[in-house]
Amino acid sequence: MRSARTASQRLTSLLLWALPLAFLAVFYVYPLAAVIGQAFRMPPGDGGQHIWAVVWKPLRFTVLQASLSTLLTLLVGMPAAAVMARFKFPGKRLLRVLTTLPFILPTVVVAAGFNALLGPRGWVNLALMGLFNLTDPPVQFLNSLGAILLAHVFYNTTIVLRVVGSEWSRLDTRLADSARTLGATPWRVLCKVTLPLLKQPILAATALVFLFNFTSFGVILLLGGAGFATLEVEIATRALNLLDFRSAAVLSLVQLLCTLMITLGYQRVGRGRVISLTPRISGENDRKPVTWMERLWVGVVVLVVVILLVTPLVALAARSVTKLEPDRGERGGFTPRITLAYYQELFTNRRQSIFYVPPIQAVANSFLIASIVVVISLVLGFITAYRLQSGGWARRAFDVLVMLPMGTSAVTLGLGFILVFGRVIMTLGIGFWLVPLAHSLVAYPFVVRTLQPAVAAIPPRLKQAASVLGASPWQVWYRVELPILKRAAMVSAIFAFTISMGEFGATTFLARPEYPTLPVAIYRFISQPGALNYGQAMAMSTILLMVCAASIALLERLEQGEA
Amino acid sequence: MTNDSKISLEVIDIHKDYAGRPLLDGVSLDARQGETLCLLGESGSGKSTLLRIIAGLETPEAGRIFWRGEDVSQVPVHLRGFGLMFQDYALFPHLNVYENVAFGLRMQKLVEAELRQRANEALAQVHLEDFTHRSVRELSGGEQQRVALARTIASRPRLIMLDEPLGALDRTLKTELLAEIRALLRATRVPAIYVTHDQEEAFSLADRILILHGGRIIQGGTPAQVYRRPVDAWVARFLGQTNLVAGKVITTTPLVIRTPLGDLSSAEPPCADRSVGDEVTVLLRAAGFEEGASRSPNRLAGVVEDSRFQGNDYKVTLRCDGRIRLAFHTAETFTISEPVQFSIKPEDVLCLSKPQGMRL
Repeated sequence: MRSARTASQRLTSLLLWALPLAFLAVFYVYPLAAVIGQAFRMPPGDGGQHIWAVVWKPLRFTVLQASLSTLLTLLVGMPAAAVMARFKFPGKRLLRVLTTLPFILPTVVVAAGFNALLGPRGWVNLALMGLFNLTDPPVQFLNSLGAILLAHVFYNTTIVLRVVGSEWSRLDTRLADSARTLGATPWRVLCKVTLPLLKQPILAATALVFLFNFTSFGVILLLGGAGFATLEVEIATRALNLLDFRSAAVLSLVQLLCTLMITLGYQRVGRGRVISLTPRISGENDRKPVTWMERLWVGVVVLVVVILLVTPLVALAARSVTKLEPDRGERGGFTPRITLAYYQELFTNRRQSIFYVPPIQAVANSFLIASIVVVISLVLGFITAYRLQSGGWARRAFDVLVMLPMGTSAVTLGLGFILVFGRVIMTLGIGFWLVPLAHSLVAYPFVVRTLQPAVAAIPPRLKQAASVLGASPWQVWYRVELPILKRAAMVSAIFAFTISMGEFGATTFLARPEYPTLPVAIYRFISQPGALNYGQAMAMSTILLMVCAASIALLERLEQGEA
Repeated sequence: MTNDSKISLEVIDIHKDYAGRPLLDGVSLDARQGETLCLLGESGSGKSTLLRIIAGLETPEAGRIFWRGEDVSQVPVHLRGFGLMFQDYALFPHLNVYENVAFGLRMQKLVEAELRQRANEALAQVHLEDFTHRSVRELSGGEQQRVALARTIASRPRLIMLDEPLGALDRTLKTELLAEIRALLRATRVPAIYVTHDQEEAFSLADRILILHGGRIIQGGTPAQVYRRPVDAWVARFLGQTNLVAGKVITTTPLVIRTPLGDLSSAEPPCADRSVGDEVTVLLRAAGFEEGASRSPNRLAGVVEDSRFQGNDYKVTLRCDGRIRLAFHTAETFTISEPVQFSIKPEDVLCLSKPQGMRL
């Protein structure tokens, strides 16, 4: 009797392992192996010469832009971290919520936001043109290195803020105080006491920011344009435009090796530091700014961060509901006005449209795909989180395997999918599923990361108490564990949903023309000439922005409910 | 299996290993209808594990559990109908007080009206009628304990098990709740097993005490039986009776034992397995102290080391024979360092077998 029970338990356990393992094997390991295999398939007679030529330029530019972006990010982020850690000021909570935005905003939205602000049809250029009666936009922002750097600073300042800021707020203020009593100037205290104590979080933040900049795709593609190809962009161009899969695979391999090295470096300095989404900056060490110098300092830093984070998004939303240019054939007597025309236009399928379907279909597709992703990643995530409870070497190995997709760039993943499932994509119906599957793979590590600690935190006694009270194993899960895990499950679901809504890298490879997702549609519309296309891109970006804002509001509410 | 119709629970020869060593080494016990058993043992003696095995939360290496003659060893936890109250209460944090108490009733799929009535009844029994909609996280330790108790009795289990339910509470609260638990258990009329390491708790609750030591139940009986006649020196010491002296039997009728304090007569009835020359342990009851040289044959002398007032009487510690320390309850106090002549009635001299390897 007893041996029978353990046998059936073993079988269940095996089956539960099998599902996430099979998922990872088929949709991660296999495509990645295909990429690596492709990279080593050298045509005869071709030395390293050609390959080096393919790799060298994008690699050099990738390292250059990533270094510059990281440096700039630290320049903005460190003062912000200091202010957040040390001072109390009105609107601090709101600012903290604002800094969550970049975690969740899709690159297309950020790119569209900067475009709406500084692009040729953006607010700044239109204002200058109107003011000085110019015929051409005076600010050349798009397709410049500056645009790429600014967007990266937008994204990654928050990482410095979180990693360094939370550590900074926990620093014992008495250390600085005692240095002051020993005769050190504030500047020397910063250089000799505070910064050395923060060395580890600063290094960790730097490595992480560098990694994100290194693998940036959407920002480069949408703001940099054809002139600026990073490894990531070059992979996409080679594979999708030139159908040169071998070069793309080689680039992917180089990219993989680089990210691996950066990740290892991060793990050395970060030692598994987990960045919480909304860290509670403990209020013990902060105080109100007193001297006017302090007030000025806090004011300037807060202003810079707010302008950086808010203006592109406000510009985007405002641009989507204002007509600033005359339509074709509407030359004389044009007045700028507020309009919902761009949103209405999403419902019409124009002949000159680049789609076979009205753009609103892209919105519907994205919602549908995101919902599927929530189901897939939560089912797999729940199983994995429970499996990770049991110890042993299998658990440790699985732990690493689960987190691997996180360190693999979306474009590499997309390339792998193309190599493995290339023919399937062409099959209507089945091809549709590749996008939600790829998105699930991207969302899965986040879901596991969120669920696993919550599952581990349930005291076994609660489950035992429930079964003693007559609850069957299923009832124990449904009535005790699930309600307790509800919050973590909601957070995971929101994450998975938002990740899918904004995913761009892998989708570029996999979306069928008749199933465009929102980011893909935004990219195509924004690349097209004409005020109407631009307006529609703005409208769709704003819809995506609203979805993200709703996600953040929900996450904040869940966080509040917990406290 | 016995045919005694009053026996409800029967636990037979339970073996359980922990970290490669036997934790329970053949434990058997039975509980009759309406009887409260107290399982008394040191922490780490396996008492909680035994409860968990009876509940079905753990599987023993060997052994059987019967309920009214039916083997329930393979019945899963949720179908056994045994209630278990956990040491740290294990209240469901996502449910309020009422829903915690109603949980077991919901599992029984009762109709709403009956469910409400039974849950409220249980809450009333622990005086928590006004707490129904409170979150369990807001409750004090004593209130949480009451919710856990109400939750356990509400579903009317056929056996109630309580695992150190008062362990985390302070003394005043303990005394108060002890009385409540006693009344509750009496009212339910089902057998109960109460696990504790606190002999006071055990004495005030138990119909029968079982002492678990070294993986076995080494003594069982009413509180009075166990206290008055500890089976060996370990039990005596565990129950707080520390006047123990090693000795050797010199005559069996009457029983006289030679100890470093002199020859002591015991009024114990003759016993078949006691023979001259046996190494034994003598227990001198703390209440058997008589000052001065009485007619008792057991005349002793000592020096007062400590005297402490404790409510009804004094606890006087004497040093006898230079190194043996004995403590007695006396009506009057003594001056410290004063030499005292006293005697012990033979009825208060017990001859215990000496556990293997035990040092006194």
